[in-house]
Amino acid sequence: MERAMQNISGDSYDTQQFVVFQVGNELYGINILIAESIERIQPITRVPKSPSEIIGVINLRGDIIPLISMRKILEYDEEDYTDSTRIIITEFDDYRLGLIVDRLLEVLTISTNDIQLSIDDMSDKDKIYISGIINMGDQPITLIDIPKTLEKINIIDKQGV
Amino acid sequence: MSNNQYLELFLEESQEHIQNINRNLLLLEQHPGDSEVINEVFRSAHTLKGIAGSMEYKTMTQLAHGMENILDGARSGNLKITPDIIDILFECVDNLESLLKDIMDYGEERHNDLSTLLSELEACMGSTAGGHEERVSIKTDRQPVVMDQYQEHVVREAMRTGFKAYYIQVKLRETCLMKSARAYIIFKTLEEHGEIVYSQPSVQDIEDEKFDLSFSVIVISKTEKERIINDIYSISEIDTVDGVELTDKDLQEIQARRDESKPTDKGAAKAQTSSRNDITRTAAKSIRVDIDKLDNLMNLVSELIIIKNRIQDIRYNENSEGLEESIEYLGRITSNLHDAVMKVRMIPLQMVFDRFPRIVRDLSRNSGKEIMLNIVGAETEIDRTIIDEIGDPLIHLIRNAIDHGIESPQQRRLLGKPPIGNVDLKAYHDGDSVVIEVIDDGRGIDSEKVLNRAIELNLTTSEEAESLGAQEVFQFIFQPGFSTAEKITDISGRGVGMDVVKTKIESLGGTVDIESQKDKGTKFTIRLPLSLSIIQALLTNIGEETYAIPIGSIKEILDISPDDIKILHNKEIIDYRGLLIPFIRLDELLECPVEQGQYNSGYITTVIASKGERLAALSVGNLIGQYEIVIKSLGKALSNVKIVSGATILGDGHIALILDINRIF
Repeated sequence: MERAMQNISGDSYDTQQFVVFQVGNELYGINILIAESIERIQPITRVPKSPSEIIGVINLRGDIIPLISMRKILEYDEEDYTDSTRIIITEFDDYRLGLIVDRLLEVLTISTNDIQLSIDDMSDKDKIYISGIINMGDQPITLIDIPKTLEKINIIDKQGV
Repeated sequence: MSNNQYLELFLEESQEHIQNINRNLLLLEQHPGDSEVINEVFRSAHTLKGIAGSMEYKTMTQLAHGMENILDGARSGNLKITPDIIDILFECVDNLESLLKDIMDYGEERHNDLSTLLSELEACMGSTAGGHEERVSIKTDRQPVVMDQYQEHVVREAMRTGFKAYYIQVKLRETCLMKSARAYIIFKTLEEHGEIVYSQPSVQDIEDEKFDLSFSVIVISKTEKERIINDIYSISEIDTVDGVELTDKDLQEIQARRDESKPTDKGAAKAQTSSRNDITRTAAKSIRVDIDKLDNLMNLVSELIIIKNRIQDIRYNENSEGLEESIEYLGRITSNLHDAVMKVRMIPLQMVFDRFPRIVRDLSRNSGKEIMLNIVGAETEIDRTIIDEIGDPLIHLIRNAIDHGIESPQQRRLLGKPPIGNVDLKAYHDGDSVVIEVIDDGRGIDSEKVLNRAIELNLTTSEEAESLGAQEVFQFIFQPGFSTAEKITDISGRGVGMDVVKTKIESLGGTVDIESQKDKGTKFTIRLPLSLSIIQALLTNIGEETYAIPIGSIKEILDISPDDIKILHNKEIIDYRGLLIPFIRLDELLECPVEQGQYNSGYITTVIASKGERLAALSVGNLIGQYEIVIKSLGKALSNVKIVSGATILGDGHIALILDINRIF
């Protein structure tokens, strides 16, 4: 599968769509092109000796999907799952992974121009790879490049050459 | 069918023919006069030329053509097969193989420097006292026309419907600079009068200027011969043009010629097809399946549908007795279906073994050792996935056997052994696994040397070393960077390899064991699962979690008392029938959350697991039972977790992880 483009192109008429979710008390977004479906939380099987960010695996209609805790990646403490906890199933390159988030908000369609590329010292969370910031509503939304983030923390192999 | 599908077919077929040529060349080497074998090689070379030509792989076509010429010479008795010729033929096959690999990897032929080989081929032909093939003879007024059936048919058909067929030979002036451009204009001119059905050399070769000064064509036209010839003369830089009208008699001659020897420039006048740059690696993932196996599958599926309908009926009638009976029946069909599907995926090991005689021949030549390779059980079938992976490790073991194992003929005589060394390759089924043995009658592995080297590399201490059994000592060989070879050769002895062999085999769910006796020989025993996708497994609780342990690696299940556990070198061990084996607490190893009071019953349920010859006792919780489980991958993100080999989905939708016994001890 083609790597979903999360880079921001210069064309002012471009729009992009992001799945916006909440972890802790902040909002984050991932490109909709890598999101496959949204699932409710379900029984998770722990995998011994796996990286700490991988919480375990679930049975998604007969396929085994590893789950990644966005709380771990964004450096929040783990909390019990609630009714609003969701799993965003993502698919990119040869990977199929679920991201556990506290709450799902919306799918946001936004002009590429409205994405701010970077702020100095934007985040103290050094585990993630930020592709931009949306500052439109009440609260800013941090856009995370999931494949690059997972590469950074060695959950997935380096892509490309 | 797309070009891509053609390519796959081409790759598969070519591989088969190369394999076949290799096999028969080996036979030919032993029986140089066997015409049956020569024919077989000729046929394969001929087909290879044909299919490579139709895919427009020029170098392959050229090579195959060269081989074909030699073999044709041998067939007709004009050429004697000498060891030199066999060597050249082998070299050709090797090059064909590497060209094929190029095509597989890059979608094109990359190997270019074959001119020496081709001229060697030519030279072989030259020594045949001529008279065999007069391909590039300019002076003869008529080159032999060799058309294929299709071309001939077109000519006959044209002649029947009032057209005339002309054989036209054009010779360009020696001063002509751009021969192919000139030829192009001639072709264009001819096409104004009719259709070109045949050309020699082929259109492709003419375009590439692969002709001397003259070429010949057959044109179907209604125009008078003189007009055509005059038109051609009007083009500049033409030396001579000869034209003959073909008669029925000519065609009969052509046919007779084709029947006596079959080399044709098949598809010669074919136009180029679209570029093949976009075709890259599409390595054949298909298998050829015996039609009986498919019929069997079809039957089972029909039965499955019948029983499904029956169960549907029962649901409406609520006849519980019938339901039970039907479910039993359903169970029988599904397990038969599983067997049948598995069989479809099974391929005889022959596919892999066929490569070895050739490798052994080359190794034995290079090392100056005489070696006899004995293959037993090549018909043993194993899953396709394993077939694809097992070749390299086996080659490695065979190379090792020849390089390190077998002694030189002189040494062997001194030891009172027959001068010819034996390497046996045996395959057979054993329960749910396939066993492959690589046995040599060479010098064996010096366990003392291995131990010293292991101590040197800090893999063990001299104190520990004393308590190690032979099997454990030999296992050091599989450590990365381990080599006791004093002399590093081209073949092996760089200290890489054995660990790769082991890793590869274990990744296939198999094991390797070594038995060796000094001066008697070495035996490697590889044990592989029949199939990778569905296995029998023991489901068991470990702590609060459920795991599956493949039945194939379980020797026995015991209840042991905590008093039976002893400590040796700070590790827990138990006495299993007089043998001290490690005791591993799986709940601790896997860091499982443990229910309170689970181990208070006094006894610990223990699985005696085997990894090849080695045993270990694994503590488990409550046993659930033996199930047939479908192995699912954990996905790429968890591929680094070695302790589990996969997962399975249980009847209630929960997941049980499958333990990889090879990684536990």
